[in-house]
Amino acid sequence: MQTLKYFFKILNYHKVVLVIYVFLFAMLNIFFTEFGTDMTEIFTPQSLNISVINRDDHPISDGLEQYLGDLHNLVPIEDDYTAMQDALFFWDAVYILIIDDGFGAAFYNDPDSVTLTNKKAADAAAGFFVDEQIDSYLLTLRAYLSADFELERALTLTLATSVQEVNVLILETEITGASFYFQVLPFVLVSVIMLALGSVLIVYRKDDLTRRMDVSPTPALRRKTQIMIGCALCALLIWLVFMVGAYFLTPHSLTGTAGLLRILNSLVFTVVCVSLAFLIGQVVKKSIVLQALAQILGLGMSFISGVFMPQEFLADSVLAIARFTPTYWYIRNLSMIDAVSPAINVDMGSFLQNTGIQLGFAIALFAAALAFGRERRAA
Amino acid sequence: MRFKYSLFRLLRDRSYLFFALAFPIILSTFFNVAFSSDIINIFESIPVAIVEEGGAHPMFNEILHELAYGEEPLLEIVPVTSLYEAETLLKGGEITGVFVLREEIELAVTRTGINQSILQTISNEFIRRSATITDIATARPDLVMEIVAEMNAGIDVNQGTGGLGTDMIIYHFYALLAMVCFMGSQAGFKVSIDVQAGISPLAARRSVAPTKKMAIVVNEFGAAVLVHAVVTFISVAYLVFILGINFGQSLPLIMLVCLVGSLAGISFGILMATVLKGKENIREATMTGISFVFYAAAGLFQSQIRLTVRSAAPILDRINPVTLISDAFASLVIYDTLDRYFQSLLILLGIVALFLVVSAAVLRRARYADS
Repeated sequence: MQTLKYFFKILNYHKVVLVIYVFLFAMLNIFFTEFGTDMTEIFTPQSLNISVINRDDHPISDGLEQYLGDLHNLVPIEDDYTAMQDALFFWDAVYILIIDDGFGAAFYNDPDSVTLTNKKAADAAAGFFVDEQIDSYLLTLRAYLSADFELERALTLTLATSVQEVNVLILETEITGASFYFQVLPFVLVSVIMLALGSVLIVYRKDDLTRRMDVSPTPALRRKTQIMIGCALCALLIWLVFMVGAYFLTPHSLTGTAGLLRILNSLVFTVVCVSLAFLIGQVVKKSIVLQALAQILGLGMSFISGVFMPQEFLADSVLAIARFTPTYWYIRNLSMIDAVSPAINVDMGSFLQNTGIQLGFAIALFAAALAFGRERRAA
Repeated sequence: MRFKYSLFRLLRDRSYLFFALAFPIILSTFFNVAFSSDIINIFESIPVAIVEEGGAHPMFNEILHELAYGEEPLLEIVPVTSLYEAETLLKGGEITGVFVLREEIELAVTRTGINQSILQTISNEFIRRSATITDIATARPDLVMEIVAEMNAGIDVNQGTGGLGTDMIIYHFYALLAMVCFMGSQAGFKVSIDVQAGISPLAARRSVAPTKKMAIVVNEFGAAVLVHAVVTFISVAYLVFILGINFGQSLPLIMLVCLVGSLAGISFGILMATVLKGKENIREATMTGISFVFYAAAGLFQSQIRLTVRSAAPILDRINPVTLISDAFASLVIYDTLDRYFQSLLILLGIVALFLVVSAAVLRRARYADS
């Protein structure tokens, strides 16, 4: 166990770096959990900050403005091109509707001959729903006008019908404790474990040290296994820190079977991260390369596997590639746990399958690390 | 001459060059694959169940069945025999929603989400239209058929205008480029470490040479800026020529942002390596961590985070160098004047100056009498 003992000595020497990484990434995760949004929310109709530039003085235009005001939060902005650009640039308004002078009268005479213009903020997928709402309003109004209703009555009826909604029953939502914390955890875990363990493992890449170890009677495999155990113990500690963080930030996500499965899922993913870091430790010699690899792998795997954007929004071709990353299977498990209400059990078959695939990654990466080490020595 | 050697030294560091280039190329290729098809891949049939109670709303039932028919149906109707069975399927996640056709139409779901919103939109649209048609049928029964046809034809009045951020995808590439620029901090970090005789053997050698420390720093800094700017230019070239991303007329302006952004990244690296205390890897870890906070606050991972930062602390948002870099890019899409573009770059240059002045003040005072 000498190698393991010295692993911890080296670890101890690097403890400040370790603490800094864990601390900063824990902060980052808090940041995500508190300020980030589950992207599915953004694609649902909700009250948005929008602006209506009403240059027209006509009951139809005013009615449209009033209707949008009922659904959204109207942000007043000046009728000035720069002001509009600023509002979008600084995201004060995500949608600006411009009603030109004479729109109302023209719509009254011939609804199909007029146009409204709108400007959307860059990232406002929600603007899609505002478009739908405006269309729905105008469609209804046109129908009443075509049926020769008085303008005033048509407007009243349009407003009344346009806000009608079906009764939506949401069965047992939120109880499962879905949380963004576990959603971004793979990004954080990959980065922090790779950076933290990587900075320790780089020490073993010094030529003198490698040569010194090579002439020792301890077989290479035993040495590596001990280093691997050391890495695993260290990663376990890091994982524990993040579980404690979860306990304080989103206690509801840890309760019940769902909570247990979330913990198990993240633990298995941690094992994959250890193998990955171990492999990187065999390949990388310089800290700068480690930093770059951590960013490429951490961000790359997260983007394509649905950490920042749900898998249902990603193209099939991306998901086909993402299947070759462990993150994809972690997220698959997580969305399964998040989607299921407590009354029904998670499909354990699929859960175990996804977990098994993650473990498969861990084994493959570890084997690759062992093989790579051999190869290098032979060279 | 010294500049030449500084340049050589950087260029010989193959691993730095490789990863500085690999990062944008790999990630942008991922992005490109991700966005080459529709950004939202929602057009898969949504599984639903319909529960009729006493044959209410036959019309809506028919519409739902029509939506489940055809080549790319919007809905997939799972047959059920009772409300209980439908709810069991719903809770088990096998279907997305249950339409309950009673006196009023009800929609049952288990959570909010995009597919759930589509179901909601379908049913809202139906009840709104039927309310309108009922009104019209009472007043002018003779016009009903005509108006139903008119409603089915849709309306095309509200139109989006180009120019103002209509292309969301390009923002992801801007965010990526902002990050690539700022990753120059790694190069800047090395510039500063290699003149601090207390940390680096090279610096110890240099400090006994008769060359002034500032002259070394200026040369190294110049070489780092040059190399990193070229790296970002190559990234831009990869985006434009290989991936075919269209940056429009503004290519030279984009390259200017890359240059200033690299400057910001490098001076940030110098600052971190200079003012932080402790061993090299401790300083590096802290720098990486702080960079990630900048990236996150700039909304590179998720735009919502930036929105929150902006409303909570607008000043912090205005001085985050990564935000300024991505703002400079974004202003090219949103504005047709360059005021905001130059404003972002000027603030950025101010921050660069501040970083460099502070670093210089700390570096020039360093004496290594005790090391």
